[in-house]
Amino acid sequence: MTRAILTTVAVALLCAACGNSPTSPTTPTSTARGTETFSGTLAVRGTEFFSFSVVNAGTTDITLLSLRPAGAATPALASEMGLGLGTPAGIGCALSNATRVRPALAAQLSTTTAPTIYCVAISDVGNLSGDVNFTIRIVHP
Amino acid sequence: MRLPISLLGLALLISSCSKSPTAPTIDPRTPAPPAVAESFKGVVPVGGAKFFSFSVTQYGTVDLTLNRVDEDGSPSAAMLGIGIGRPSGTRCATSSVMNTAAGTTPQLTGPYEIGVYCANVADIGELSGPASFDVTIAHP
Repeated sequence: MTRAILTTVAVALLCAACGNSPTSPTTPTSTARGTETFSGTLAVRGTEFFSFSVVNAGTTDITLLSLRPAGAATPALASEMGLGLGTPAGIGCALSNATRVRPALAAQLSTTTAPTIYCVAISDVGNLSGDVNFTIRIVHP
Repeated sequence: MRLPISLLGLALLISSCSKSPTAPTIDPRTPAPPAVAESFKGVVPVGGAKFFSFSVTQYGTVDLTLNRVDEDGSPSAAMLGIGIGRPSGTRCATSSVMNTAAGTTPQLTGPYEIGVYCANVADIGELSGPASFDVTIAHP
C-alpha cells in the first residue's frame, strides 16, 4: 500500500515538473556594432553607393577614410566630397542625411538608425579632375 | 506485480511528458495585392547585372515582369535571369530567381514582408552584346 502511494506521489511530482514553465525574460538586444568597408573608384561628377543592414537601433558612424587618384601612386587627396546616408531606391541611394567632407580618421557622419536597410553614398561635388579610389568605413549596430 | 505495473505507468507518463514537435504554422494573413508599379529600364552588359531598389510598405505580393529585351535595337528572345532580393554592398543579394524570356505576365511573384528589396536583371550567358530591358515591379 505504502509503495503504491509513493509511486503515485512520484508520478504527480514528475508530471508537475514536466509542465511548461513560463519562459524567462529575453536578454536585451545587443549594442555590439559591426564594421563594413566600402572601397571603390569614383568618376568625375560620379556617385557610388553601398547598402548595408542595421539589425538593432543605434548609432551609425560613417568615415571617408581615404581618397587617392585612381591608378597612380601619388599622395592622398584632401578634396571635399559629398557623403550621405539614405535608403536604396531605384538605381541609387535616396539620401536623408548628407554633408560635405574631407578624408579623415574620425567619423564625419553620425546618425541614429533603426533596423532596416540603409545605403551610404559618395559623390564628386565638382572638385575632382580625375577618377579617384576611395575607402569608407561604416560602423553600425 | 503491482510495482512493475506502476513503473510501466511511470515510464509511459514520463515519455508522454516530453516535448513533441510543434505543428507547422500557417500564416493566416492575406497578402495585400500590388498597389504601386515601378518601371525599371536599363542596359545589361554581357555577363553583367543591374538592380533596382524598392520599398514594400505592407505585407503583400510582389510581381516582377520582364516586359521586353532588345538586342541591337530589335526585340530579342534571349533569356535573362531576374530575381528579387535585398540590397547588400554594391549588389542585389537575390533570394528568389528565375531565368526567363520577355513576356506579358509576371514571371516572378511572391509574398514579401515590409522592407527594402531589390529587383535584379542579369545576363545568364545568352547575350552576345549589351541588351536593353524593361521590367515592371508591382508591389504593395
